[in-house]
Amino acid sequence: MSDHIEKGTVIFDQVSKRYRLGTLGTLRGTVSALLSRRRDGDDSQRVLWALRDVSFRVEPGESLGLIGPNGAGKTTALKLLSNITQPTAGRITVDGRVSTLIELGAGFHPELTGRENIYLNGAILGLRRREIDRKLDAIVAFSELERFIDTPVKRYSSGMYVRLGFAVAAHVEPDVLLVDEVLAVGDAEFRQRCMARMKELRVSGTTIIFVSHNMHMVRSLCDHALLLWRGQVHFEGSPNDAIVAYEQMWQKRATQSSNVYTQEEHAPILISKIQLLNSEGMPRREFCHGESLEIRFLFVASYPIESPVVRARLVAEDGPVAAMVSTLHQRRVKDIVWTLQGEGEIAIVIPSLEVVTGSYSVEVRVLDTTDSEVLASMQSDQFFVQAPGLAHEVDRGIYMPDVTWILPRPEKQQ
Amino acid sequence: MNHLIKLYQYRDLLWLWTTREIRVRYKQSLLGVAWAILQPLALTAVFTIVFSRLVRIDTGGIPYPVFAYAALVPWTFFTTSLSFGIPSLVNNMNLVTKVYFPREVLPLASIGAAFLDFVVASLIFGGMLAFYRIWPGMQALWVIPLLAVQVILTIAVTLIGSAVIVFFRDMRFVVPLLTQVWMYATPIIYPVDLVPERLRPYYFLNPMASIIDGYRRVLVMGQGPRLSALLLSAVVSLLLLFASYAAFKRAEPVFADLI
Repeated sequence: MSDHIEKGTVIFDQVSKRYRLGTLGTLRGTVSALLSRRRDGDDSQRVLWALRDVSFRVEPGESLGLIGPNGAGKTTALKLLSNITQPTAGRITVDGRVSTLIELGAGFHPELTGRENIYLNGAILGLRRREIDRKLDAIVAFSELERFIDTPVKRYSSGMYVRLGFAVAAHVEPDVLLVDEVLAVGDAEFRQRCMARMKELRVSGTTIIFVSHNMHMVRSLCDHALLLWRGQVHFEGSPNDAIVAYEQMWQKRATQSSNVYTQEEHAPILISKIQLLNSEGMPRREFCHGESLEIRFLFVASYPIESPVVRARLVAEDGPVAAMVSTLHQRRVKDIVWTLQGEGEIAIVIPSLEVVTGSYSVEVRVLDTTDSEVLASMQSDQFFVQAPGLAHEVDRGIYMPDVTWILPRPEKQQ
Repeated sequence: MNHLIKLYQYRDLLWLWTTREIRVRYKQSLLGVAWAILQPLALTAVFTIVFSRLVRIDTGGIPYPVFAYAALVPWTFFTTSLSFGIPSLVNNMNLVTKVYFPREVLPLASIGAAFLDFVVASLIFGGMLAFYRIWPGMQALWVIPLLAVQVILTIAVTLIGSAVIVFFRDMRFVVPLLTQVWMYATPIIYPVDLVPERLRPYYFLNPMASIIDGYRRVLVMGQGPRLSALLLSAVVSLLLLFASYAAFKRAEPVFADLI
């Protein structure tokens, strides 16, 4: 019937995935839902199409980049590919062993040591014990965690988690390797090695599907790219063209008025625009070290949200997060009860940008009051901070405070 | 069948997860292995005081501690399996939503871990028999089929239970109540002889009844099990297992969406 499929081929055939949001999940909730629904109840409100009619095909040894804003369906696509969840409609064909690196520490148990977790993780990926025995040394060497391999992973830093996770995922001889955003956590040197390893795997015939916000990595690793936008394929082509399409999209979105979104989507809240303002309230793309930065964003809420948590992250271009602020952590706003409703704007003022020279962007998120579910998220355009010193000095950190120096006095000689 | 092949391919994971359950559980509780014997032992002590001192229950000449403990050791294996196995999917949502593997590994591993407790508690039972100078004869070999039926039943109940509470979280509060009621429907504190003859056919519809009764007969009383009741129990347990595994596998694709 269907043509012969080689190991490592990935086919998405008109795949859609629908999630139901809401309170099913308790007997009480279900019973009351059934009772209140009775006749033609309004179901559509609580449904979210994470993917809609998405088709693509990746041949063995090819690598596909998935780009798009948060909530576009990239992670859902990876979850479908790795068989964690099933499509609502359409067909997915994945042949061969799939190795997934979706989230930091998924498949790790904090109480177990690094070594034990390698076995656990390997077993989850479907490996036999003997196969892992054989690969153990290579995995440990790649992760550079020799000294900590018998330490429980709960003592690991997030960078160490990623190193171990990637080392396992990349050494199980997968036919298909799925990598989500996680690599952003590692340091630049490790990321270089991950890229090298993925290129190696690709040469040996592994299919790679790579989700990232780091356009540089997408460009250097992927043969082609798919731009997802609200669950649909918006553009497919070379990474360069896809990235250009993506950037155009941002610009269009920034200039459009905000109420475009509420009609078609059932997202509880949308962030329509992020502005970066200087101390005079002027939008700017360049700032000086020590200047103030006001992050102002517009939101549209489709229903009132009680005391949500608002977070902002200052992200350096090459990945590391320079700072994260959250209403949860700031004493003055933490206990204020407020409601986010209708349209409005929220501003966050950073009094003094004390970071090193480089490009940064701001990512703003609105979460529910328990700080667990992301309701809306948006990343700003890149902006540049000019500080004393060059952008590419090594080991300079990110934080560069204005310090006071106390130097030895010259007159005290003899 | 395909499911079983898949599960077999993941046998290393099952083994690793079982040992993990054991290690984590014993590491986290102060009492460690002692916990395995404490629960049936404490219940035995309480029941002995209540039912051989305050209310007299005729055990047919068997010392009450032996009478109760012989039933409580397998019964505790059953309830421990349920109380760890049923919430196992919900408790490991981090795994279920982030990686793929046959989900039944989680409840099965809980049963495996409970089995270790059972083995430890059984050793104490051996000591107890020696203390009371009760020597089980060849009939004791019946323990093997009895245990097999019990494990089949345990897997059946745990699988279906673990799937159900993914859909209905509040059902987890029902589990302790259910096991409590089930205990009184099973000959643990009292002998089967106290159940009126005409009610027995219904009584033995509870597969645990003939299993627990069987252990006591073959280990303490030197008799064979009630064969027809045991056979019924085996058939019921097997049917339950097929039904519950099929239901579990049907529900499996949506677990990650609900958790």
